[in-house]
Amino acid sequence: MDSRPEKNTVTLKVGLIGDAQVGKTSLMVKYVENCFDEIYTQTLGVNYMERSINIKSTEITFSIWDLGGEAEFTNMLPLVASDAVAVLFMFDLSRKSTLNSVKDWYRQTRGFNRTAIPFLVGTKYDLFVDLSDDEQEEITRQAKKFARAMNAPLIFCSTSASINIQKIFKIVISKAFDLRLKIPEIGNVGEPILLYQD
Amino acid sequence: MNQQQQQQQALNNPKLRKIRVSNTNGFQQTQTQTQRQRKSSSDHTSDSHRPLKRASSISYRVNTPTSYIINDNERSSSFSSLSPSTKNMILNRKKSSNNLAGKLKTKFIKPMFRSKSSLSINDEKSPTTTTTTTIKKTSPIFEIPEILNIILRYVGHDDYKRIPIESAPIRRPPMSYNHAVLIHDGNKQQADQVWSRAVSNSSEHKPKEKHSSNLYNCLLVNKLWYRLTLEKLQENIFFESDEKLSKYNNNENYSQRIKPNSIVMHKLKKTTQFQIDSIFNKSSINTINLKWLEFYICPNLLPSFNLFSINLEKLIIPGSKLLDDSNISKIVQLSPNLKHIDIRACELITDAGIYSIGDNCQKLESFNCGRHLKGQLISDISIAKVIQNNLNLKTLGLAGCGITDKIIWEIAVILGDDLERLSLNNCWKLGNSGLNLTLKNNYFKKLSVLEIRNCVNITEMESFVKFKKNQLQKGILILIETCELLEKRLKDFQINHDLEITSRIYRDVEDWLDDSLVDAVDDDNYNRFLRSRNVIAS
Repeated sequence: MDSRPEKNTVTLKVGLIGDAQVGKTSLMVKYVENCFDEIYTQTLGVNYMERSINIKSTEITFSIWDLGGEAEFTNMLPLVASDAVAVLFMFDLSRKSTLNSVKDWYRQTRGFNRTAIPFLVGTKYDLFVDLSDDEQEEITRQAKKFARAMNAPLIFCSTSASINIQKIFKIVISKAFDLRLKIPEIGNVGEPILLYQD
Repeated sequence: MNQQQQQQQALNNPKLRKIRVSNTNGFQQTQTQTQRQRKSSSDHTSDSHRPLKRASSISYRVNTPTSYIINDNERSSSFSSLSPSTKNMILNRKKSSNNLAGKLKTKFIKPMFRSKSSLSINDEKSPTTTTTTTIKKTSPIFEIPEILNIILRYVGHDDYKRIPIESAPIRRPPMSYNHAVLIHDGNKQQADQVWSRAVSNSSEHKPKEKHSSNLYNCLLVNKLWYRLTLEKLQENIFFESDEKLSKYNNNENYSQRIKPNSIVMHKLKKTTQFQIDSIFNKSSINTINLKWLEFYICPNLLPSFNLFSINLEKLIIPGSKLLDDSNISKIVQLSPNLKHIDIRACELITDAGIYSIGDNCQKLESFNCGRHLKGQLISDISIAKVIQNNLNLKTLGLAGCGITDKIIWEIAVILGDDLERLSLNNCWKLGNSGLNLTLKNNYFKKLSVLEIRNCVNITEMESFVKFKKNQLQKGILILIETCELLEKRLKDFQINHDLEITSRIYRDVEDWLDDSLVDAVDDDNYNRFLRSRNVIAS
């Protein structure tokens, strides 16, 4: 009866925060259900999904909380931020203003949770590559600067083209457990940036 | 019904506490009831006859708000400090607005029901001799016994809270300072707190909040109210002081037929069996409704046998020096439908008594025969009989009994699905082949409190730690009460166990992070993305 070793469950809460329409819900749905919908649905308040990964006798459960980006939902920020192990600050690579808002989101979130590991995540890489080289350069430079200031890994991803989605959560785990990761970093302008080593 | 609701509403509305009273001479006073109360307590020292006479001989004009002025629980003391006539007035007033002046007299209130702190409201005025006051006709609803009965039932709905009961601590106090530290995982500050609390009042608990009954006020209204209220009050008979009991015994007014729901004696040490019998051992007591019979730490008293009926559900006689095997077997024959039996520290009872309980009772939900002395008198044989015949047991107290691991298996197999609380403190014969194995095999599915203090022969802690974890995962909070030695064993094992798990998790996660299959998906997708763009570009 007691022959099989019991399952050890670890739950990691991850918060997704950023301006409206940057693709927070899309990223969550993509990671949990592996599907992508072009149609935009505004998040009213907070969304929540879970995905479990079974590794031998350990089960890691991501509980992903996604906060609606409109200003009126800011009062629900504590719900998403408190107890989170990691917070993904997300911005739209094709809209520079969303990157500038990260500063504000970061400050507010730190007010509720000082221990969560911050991540800076640029979305819609598939649109980003269509921008002019100058624009790409400018945004990449700015994002790197922000990531350094936040002491956060920087990742560019695309939900519709499924680029770097799995890696984001792998890096979350490696940071949460403080374990080394062998994924090569990507740092060149125009490529899907992946910078996470300290 | 509407009246009743109004009354209830008035009961719950603290805003209506302010009463305005004036006498016929036009003298007016406005007081809040708290002021009155203060006043009345100072009045109380004076001759208590005089204020009553004065108060009853004066008529009042009362300007009240639009509803009844009756106070709720906490203020009932201030209400009872009003003079009877005021009370009467308040209780009898109708809501209608043309009732600004309610004039009453109170001649039908006998002095013996007088509230102990009658208040004369017009201290400044000497009492006039107007005896020609008129009675404001009360609503007829208050004269119909059936309806009044319902009203009184609502008024006394929380009367049961006044019954003295043993206060049950959430956790037992720690047995030593080190024990406290262990329980609180090394948190010294918390341990200090708990330990100092345990030392300061190891024997006595916080005094229970006194709860005075609203029904007492209803005694004072008129004869009908008195009769019905008394009936209601005598549904729950309880005494926590010897004086009160002897007073009750001497008062012939109480000797009417009574039909109690509960009889509770709480720590009566001086009362004699003769007194008890003279109250209860008579034909005027109807035990048809009696469900709860408690003699809590009354070492020299036994309930009169005529109190035991087939309907009795709860028998609580801890600490009796008289209850023996022949008594208990007679009791369970009279009351085979008992659901709760508490015979803690009744050291005269042996296997024979317990066996007769098991033989006669089949509806037990809780059974406690824990003791500190003479544990060897209770063994597996009798307990097994109780368990086999009572499949609904949820609470089982066997502290200090001479039971062995064999009976643990019996409990596990027969009661395992339902048992919630199990106390095995000081069961010196228990070892590693009882609880350890049954817990490991997941027998106790609903267990939430397990007490194993001083069961020093239990040395293997693995199953306890794992059981605790399992129950937590099922959403059942489990409390395992232990002594210092066992707590140390438990904690040591737990720490090792946790370390093992953590390192296993780390190993697993590390393996997964090294596995490049996951990243490959992303890389493939990126390459596909690049290819498709090249196709478009060309």
